[in-house]
Amino acid sequence: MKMNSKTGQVGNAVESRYWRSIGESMGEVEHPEWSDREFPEGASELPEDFSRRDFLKLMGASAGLAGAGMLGVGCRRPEELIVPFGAETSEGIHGQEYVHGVPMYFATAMPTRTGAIPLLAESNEGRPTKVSGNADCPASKGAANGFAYASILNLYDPDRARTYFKNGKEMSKADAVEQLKSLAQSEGRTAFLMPSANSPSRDRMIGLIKDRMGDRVEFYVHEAIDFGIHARAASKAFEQSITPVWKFEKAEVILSLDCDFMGTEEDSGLYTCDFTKNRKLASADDSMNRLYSVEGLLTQTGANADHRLRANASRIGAVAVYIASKLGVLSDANSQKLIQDLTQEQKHWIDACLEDFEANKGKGLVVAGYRQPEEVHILVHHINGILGNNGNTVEFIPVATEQFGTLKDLSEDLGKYDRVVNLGCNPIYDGGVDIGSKAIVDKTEFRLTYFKKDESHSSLGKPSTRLCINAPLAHYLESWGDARANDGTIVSIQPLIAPLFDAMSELEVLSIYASVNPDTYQSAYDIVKDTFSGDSWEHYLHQGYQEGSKSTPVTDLELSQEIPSIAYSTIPSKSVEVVFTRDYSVDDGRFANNGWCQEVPDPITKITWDNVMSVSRKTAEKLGLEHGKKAKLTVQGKSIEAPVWVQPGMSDNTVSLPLGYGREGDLRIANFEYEKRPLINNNFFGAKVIDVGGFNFYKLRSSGRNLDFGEIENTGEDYPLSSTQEHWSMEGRPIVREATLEEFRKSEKKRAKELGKEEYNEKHFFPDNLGLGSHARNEGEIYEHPYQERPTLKSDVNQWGMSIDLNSCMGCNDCVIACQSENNIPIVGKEQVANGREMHWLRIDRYYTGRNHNPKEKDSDGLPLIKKIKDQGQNGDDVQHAEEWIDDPQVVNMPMSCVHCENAPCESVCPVNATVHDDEGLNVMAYNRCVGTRYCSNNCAWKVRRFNYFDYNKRPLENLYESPLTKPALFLDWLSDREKPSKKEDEWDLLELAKNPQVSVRMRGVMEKCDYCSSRIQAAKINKKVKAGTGGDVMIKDADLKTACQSACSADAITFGNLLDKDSRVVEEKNNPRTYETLDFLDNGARTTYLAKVRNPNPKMPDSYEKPFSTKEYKATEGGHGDDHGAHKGHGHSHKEDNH
Amino acid sequence: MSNIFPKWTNRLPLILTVGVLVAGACVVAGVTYYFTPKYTRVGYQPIQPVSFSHEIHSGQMGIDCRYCHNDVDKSWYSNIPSAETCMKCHSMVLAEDPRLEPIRKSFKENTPVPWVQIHKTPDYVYFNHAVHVNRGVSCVKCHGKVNEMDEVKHSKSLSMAFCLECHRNPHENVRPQSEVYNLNWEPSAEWDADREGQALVDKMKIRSSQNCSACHR
Repeated sequence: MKMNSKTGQVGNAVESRYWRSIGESMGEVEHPEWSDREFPEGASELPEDFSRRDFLKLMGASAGLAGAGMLGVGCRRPEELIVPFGAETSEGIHGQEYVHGVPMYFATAMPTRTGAIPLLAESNEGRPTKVSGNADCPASKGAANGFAYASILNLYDPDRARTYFKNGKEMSKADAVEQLKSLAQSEGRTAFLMPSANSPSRDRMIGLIKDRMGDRVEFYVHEAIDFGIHARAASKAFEQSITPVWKFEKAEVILSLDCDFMGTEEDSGLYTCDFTKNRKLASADDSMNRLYSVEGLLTQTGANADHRLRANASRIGAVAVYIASKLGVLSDANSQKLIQDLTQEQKHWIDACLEDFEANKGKGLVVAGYRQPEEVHILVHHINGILGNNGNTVEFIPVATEQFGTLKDLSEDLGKYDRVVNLGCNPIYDGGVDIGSKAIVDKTEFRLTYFKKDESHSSLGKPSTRLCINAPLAHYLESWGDARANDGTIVSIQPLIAPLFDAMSELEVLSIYASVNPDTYQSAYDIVKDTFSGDSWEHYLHQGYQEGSKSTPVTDLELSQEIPSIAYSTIPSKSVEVVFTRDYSVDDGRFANNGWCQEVPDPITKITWDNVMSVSRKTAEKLGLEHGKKAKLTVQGKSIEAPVWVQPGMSDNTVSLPLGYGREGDLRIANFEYEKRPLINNNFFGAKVIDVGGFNFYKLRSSGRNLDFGEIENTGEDYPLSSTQEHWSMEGRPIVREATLEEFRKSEKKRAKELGKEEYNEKHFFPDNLGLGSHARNEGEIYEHPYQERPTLKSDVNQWGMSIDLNSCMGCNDCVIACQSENNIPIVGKEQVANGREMHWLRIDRYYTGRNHNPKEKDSDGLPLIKKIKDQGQNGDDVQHAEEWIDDPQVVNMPMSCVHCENAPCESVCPVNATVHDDEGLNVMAYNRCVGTRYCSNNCAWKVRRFNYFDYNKRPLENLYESPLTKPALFLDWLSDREKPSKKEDEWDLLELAKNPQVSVRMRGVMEKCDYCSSRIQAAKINKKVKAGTGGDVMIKDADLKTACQSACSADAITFGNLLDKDSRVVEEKNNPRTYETLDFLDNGARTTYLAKVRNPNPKMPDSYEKPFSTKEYKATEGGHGDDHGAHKGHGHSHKEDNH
Repeated sequence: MSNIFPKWTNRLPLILTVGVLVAGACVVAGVTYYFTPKYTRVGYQPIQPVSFSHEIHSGQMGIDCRYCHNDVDKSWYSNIPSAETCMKCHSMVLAEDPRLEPIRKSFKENTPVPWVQIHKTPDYVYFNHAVHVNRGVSCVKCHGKVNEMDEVKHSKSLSMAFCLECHRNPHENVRPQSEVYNLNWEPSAEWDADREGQALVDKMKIRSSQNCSACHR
């Protein structure tokens, strides 16, 4: 290996051991220039056609502007007013003591399809700005998910419905309510169409309406992604109304059958929390759970599995049948036919896996995902029954019997009704192709809608024959409600702000229908209060949940003898199976107009702002599909053209179709085209249009179907995708370190024996023992140490540090969203992401490693093997052999943000001291000093610094390139008010409300990065000091402070705290033998350290491995250069020789 | 050739040099004087909607600062009292006084009195009142002797240098906690900042930060 012994830098990117895309793994870096440069090409350059003359023109004009500006504004500061309250006790002021400037926290909950996520919402000056999990609530243990964190931005969505209207005319809420009242009292039959929910108050209201209206009313529930499957299947299997609650913390072996419980299932945050509890290894005696996954798509759960078996989504049923027949549950002919479809390898895999479960009876857990049909779920309950897991690792709690029809039922029954009342569904968009959604919309006379104009808006398309009242739907942070959480605990939903646009909640509408005398209908508050059955209403709201309301698990778990048989289906030849899936970023489309959700990279593909059709390498080769090019997919006669993404780990002949994109309403984030706005409208440099917003796969989907078959063919048309996959490349240094449990235990026992206790704790952590330690170290520190130079600078009270456990991190992106919300991080849009200008302070790197993958494998001529094969244009066996490791990769996720080096490279190069060290170990940014040289980013080895190339906060995304020079209107605006944003007023007014007042909003030309939530640190210190008064108890303890990412992490993978507090968790974590420092050969003294990942393979499995693929790959590349290594002998690697 | 330039042009370089120097000096002097925080801030005394006198209320009657600014020890922000606070006394004292009309109106209609802001740190500075007044730093350090001002004016520059001066020498600027709101407190003859002040700093573990992160985030 050509290696610079001084820095440990690997000679070139071809030698990387970790790869992040197929190209990179082959040694063909798709964008080789990206790894050599501070920012990708184009990120820091002017467009090509920008000549010197243009530049001079610009410069001249800006000098003129500067002069004009000075005249207009003067030097005196403007007169500002202070407006105190008039009378504190009068109406409109908080009931409780309000102290201006001190944030208030309220317990509430975000309703989900089958329950709710208990939350704690922060309110600054009366506006909610941030939500986090309610750690006091036993139902969730503080877990939440990225959707919950992002939901705060939905509240301030500029495209929200703002007025009540009917027949194109605006009306007041009072008028709309009056008309609704007369609707409620009128004759005729009414059908209600509502989204799914699990709310005692709503159930009560529905009961009241049924009592009042009898058979004149019926209720239908519609959800594009149906999580009710779990309750339905369990109810059928056990012949009683129950739903399963998985107890991952009790399970030692887990088998997921296409169940993405860490990602797209409901309550994924809670399940991740439970699952990772058994993965926090600290010593050789600790045990660890083992996760098996059988799936067709590479999901987050599969990516974190210890063993993963690829199987088509349509064959998961066969896998379940095979397991059941092995356990003696099934033996009929149909089962035998299904089993025949499995390959021998698959059977061996399942056999060995089953052995593990039989050895762990009562401590195993088999779970099936929402995409699988009911029959598979029922079979899984039987399997868990035989394995003794029911009642142990999976509990069942009673649920109300489902009494509602589906959208399909409504579409069939529509003739029976005189009108439809829609409480927030959007059937035209997500109803499915086989539903007469148009007829339903035409019959709708009242509709709650979150958006001003979405697909089901009655004035879209042909004018409706009826006049529908369109009413704005309230956000959950503006409305009263309640819900049952995962374990049946009743949680309260309380508003933090009055409805911004006088919006109405579902409960209000139901209340008008439920009351006999509509003039005295109950408010939502009264309904929820009446439903509440506990002792203290105030206590309930304060805690956010009703104590003791947890459902008692059902103990009588008698399985029904009847096992429905699984339909035999096989992928027709020349066809592919298509799998419709909930999207990781935008759910089923409800978060599509949320910029944070659009811009967060998909945890697997790392694509932003779009969805793609993922296929496996073999399928792409077989069907002639090309990575990044569009293909035409036809399902049941309907077709759509969308880009193809060759995704490692996909099963062959499977296409995954994430739902939720391709919106058509007036949604300025989800649908850039609605105002015919190109993404860049740049007259000065020439306009360029970039497609954005993804593809609507609902157009291929029959209602409720998650699986289908179709044909796909390449169209060869290019489609630009913005993937963050190869940005901020690490050039193959030993960044992520991992081992197997066996290795970890051996190494730990050996170390304990060899070393004295003190030394054991002090050094030689096990990643070094594995030979994964760093390359040659520097002979000394390159950069000056701030505290060595000025020892008095170092604080003796607090020193901050962070530890990130790679064994717990599941790569879910929740921390990224929470960070964005906390730190006022702007979105930059698809085109800017493509230029490498995304602003996320925290990113999740996702690396793949492959079995037998040896990127340095060379032929007899010393040329890289894979390159030669490719160059010769060969296909067939050779390529097959060289590439097949792609098919079953191991995946590692690594959160990466500023590591706060003590000898920070960025600080040394800043010409204006804008980035400096503080007394508590923070590497801080003084934004006002920053002049935007970007030297710091250039010199950062972790590539965690972000530069504001444009004023992303104030400018609309399609207008980033506009300036007062190119648009006279902007110049006039600028003259009249220099602070005026060029975002539209309706948008700016709302977005301003979402900002955290404790953190500066950065402007154009300023560098920024993770500051360990400096604002939270200062707030914690100040609170502690205020509390201490004249005392000296000012040291920050764990209970005083959490960073945004830390509190967002359901898996508890991120630990932050005071290194001087010996009882703090971060000190404990840093003493964990798995601790290592990234790029430690630089001797930078990073304050963020990582805990190595440990995999737990079962040695009896056919696909078992002694060492993680990365180690093997690493060793292979070490060996591959054997001879030329001699020249470098004597430089580093000494620890490796010890190990051999 | 000699007729092209008149004779006075021989002095042109000198005139230009002197002229440029004088102009430069003027610019430097002007910027130094007019652009400094001292000029733009100190002495700022806008006309308030009600001519409230701190001298009468605080100085003569000795009302504690926190009677009106009751959140100063709880929040970063020292609140301006609501009209209700004024009306606690003025519903009886000077109840009909025309000068208090805006206050009565505000209380009755629950609309704010538009006081003009005097002390203000820039948006990028996160100053916190609570942590200062709870830890031995008196109001008088930044606001001057408000109890002697008939109408409040800006008396200290509140520039970054002003903040740092105190943060560099906390022992010279802390006082016993009991005297924080006593604007007339002067250290006694025995008070030695190096001894008594330092003792307070040590006891309270005051580490007044001089780092950017202390105020800028």
